Amino acid sequence: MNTGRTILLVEDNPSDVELTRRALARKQISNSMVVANDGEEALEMLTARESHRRIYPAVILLDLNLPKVSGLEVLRRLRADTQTRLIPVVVLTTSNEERDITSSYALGANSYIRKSIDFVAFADTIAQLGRYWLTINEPPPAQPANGVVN
Amino acid sequence: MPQPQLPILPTPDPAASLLARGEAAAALALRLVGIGTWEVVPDGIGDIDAWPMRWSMETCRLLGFEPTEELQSRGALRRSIVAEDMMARDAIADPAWRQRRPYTAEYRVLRPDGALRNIVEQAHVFCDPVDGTERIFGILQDITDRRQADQALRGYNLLLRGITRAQSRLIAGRSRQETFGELLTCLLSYTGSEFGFIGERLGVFERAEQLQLCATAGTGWDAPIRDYYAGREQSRITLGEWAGVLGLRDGPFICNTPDAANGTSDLLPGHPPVRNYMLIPFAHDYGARGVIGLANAPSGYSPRLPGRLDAVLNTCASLIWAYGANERRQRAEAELVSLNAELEQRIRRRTAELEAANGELESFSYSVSHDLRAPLRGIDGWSLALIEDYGPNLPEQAQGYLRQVREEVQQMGRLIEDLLEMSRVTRVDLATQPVDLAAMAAQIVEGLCRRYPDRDVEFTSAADLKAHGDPGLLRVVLQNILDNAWKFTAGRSPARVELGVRATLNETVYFVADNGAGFDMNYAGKLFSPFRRLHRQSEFPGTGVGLATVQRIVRRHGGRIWAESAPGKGATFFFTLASGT
Repeated sequence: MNTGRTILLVEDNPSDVELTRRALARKQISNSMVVANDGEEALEMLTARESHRRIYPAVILLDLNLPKVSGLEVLRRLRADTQTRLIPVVVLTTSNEERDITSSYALGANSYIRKSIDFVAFADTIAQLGRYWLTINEPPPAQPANGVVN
Repeated sequence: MPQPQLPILPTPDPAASLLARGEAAAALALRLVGIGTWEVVPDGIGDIDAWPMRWSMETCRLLGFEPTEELQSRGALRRSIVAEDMMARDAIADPAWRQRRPYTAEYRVLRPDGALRNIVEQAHVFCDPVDGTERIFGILQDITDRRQADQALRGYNLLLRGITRAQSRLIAGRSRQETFGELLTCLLSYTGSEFGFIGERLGVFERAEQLQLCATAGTGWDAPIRDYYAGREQSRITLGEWAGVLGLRDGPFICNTPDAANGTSDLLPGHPPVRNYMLIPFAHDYGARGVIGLANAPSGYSPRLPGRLDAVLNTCASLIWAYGANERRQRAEAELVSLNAELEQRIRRRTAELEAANGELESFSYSVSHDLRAPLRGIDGWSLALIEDYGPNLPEQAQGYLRQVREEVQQMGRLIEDLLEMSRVTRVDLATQPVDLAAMAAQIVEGLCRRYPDRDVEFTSAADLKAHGDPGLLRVVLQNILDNAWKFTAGRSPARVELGVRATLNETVYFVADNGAGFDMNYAGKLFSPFRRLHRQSEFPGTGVGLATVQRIVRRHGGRIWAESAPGKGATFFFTLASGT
């Protein structure tokens, strides 16, 4: 059910990455997942100057607790950049701290989802997310980089 | 004042004429009131001093002459008068004599025996009714006692004024120097002294009497000397530095001998020499001690003087005590202020430490929330992966183990959740408002019934349970206690849970009672400690954190929580919220 659109998973925990991939695979949508292992890498992939290296995912699944550039900082920079400000961002994290939820929405997150410890529940959530953002939701059109038409 | 001895008078002769007896009585009366009479018959020519003048016996006595002496003349009277007073008297009397006018003059006379007396002289002219000759009739009256009394009164007034002024200085909070300066100025003026000091005796150190000068003053001092002593007023000196005296005794010390006085002093070069001096120690009942030093009175110091200064001495002693008390109080206040500052400093430090600790706790909770749960999900996920991918190859027992692993993970997940909840309730700010605990409990019970549809619990509640508190936190309290009640009544038929209230004299006690498993009161102390469980996990599952969280919430509301139970007899949890709510 690969629609040709991609999910960008920003997650530094390899176990979580694999489990997410596994959850998506069970619903036959794993091929469309791209992984950034930290915030910096995510920003590079989303804002690379060379257009062939740049990706424009249908949704970004963003962990908050990331090395180098934190998840909230990644979100802030994405929303400040005309190229990326429209990309749907789903915060997918273990934290249920109220301030994290508030900050995420304040910075323009489209959704906030807490990862369950119960893997069955987690896999269901991931599958639903994949289905929704890749097949149901109509994504925003890609924006030109800093006003330059490619 | 001692009663003067009545003079021995000649007894009037009873055989004498009425006139003679009248004259004798008049003489006696004049003698008793101390009035002397005299008479001058002006000859109109020659020196008025040579005019014959007849003195009465009393006049002779007033001027200190024997009545028999043939000195009775105006000249003799004038020779008795103290030279300084003569001109003033003559300026009044002489023109009056010439113009035959009455007059009054006052002067001092120096009697041959050396006594100095104050005299008032009054005279007027009259015509002798018998021979028609013109005469000047006058009286002399000794007013020495009156003058002395006047002077003493003026002196007392001066001293009293000084005392009053000094006391107002104290009350107005002026400096020690200014206050004692008032008294010293007054003392210099009262005694006619040229300079002096008032000092507080601090005791004997290194064999010298130590003195703190309260005030110094000198009418004859030039600016450098004045500045020198003023500069010493703040510091301690030994007595020898100023007066060089023998040391203070309990009583006053007077030296009226110029050589001795000058020899004992240790004065600044250029200081006027000390001709005489007086030192009067004084003491206060509460222990303040001091000394007044005065020097260079025009005619030395009388041993009676210290007695007249009693009021001033007492005032000095009281003032020294009062200033000492003031200074002690100010020192105590200063200490209090610095102590307060130190306390505030300490509080600020503690607050900063607490804030830091809170911050750490928060970041700890955050880490727990995030970092501890992530691996759990991994364990669960990979256990499931193992079952899914290799399940067919695994023996049934291995699959059971993996299911057990997944259950443990869920239990640990709950534990972490509960711990986070407990730490959250101590960190969040209280947002208190009126809360209906009955309505809140009804919602919770509804949830419980949905969660445990196969349980049949009779829940009764007081209709209207008004409380005041943070609704979110109070919900946690009720949720936990009702959860427990549901949990521990499992297996009871019928299971009963009651929410109620008991108002005592000064507080409202809410309670939740059940007819469940109960617990042994011996372990009641452990009930509210985190991780303490009174039942086996296999009997009643739980993390042991719920009641610890409940207790923290109740305490944050200023209330108490406790429980009563017996094994198998159900349990009742009581809690209060802050009084007045």
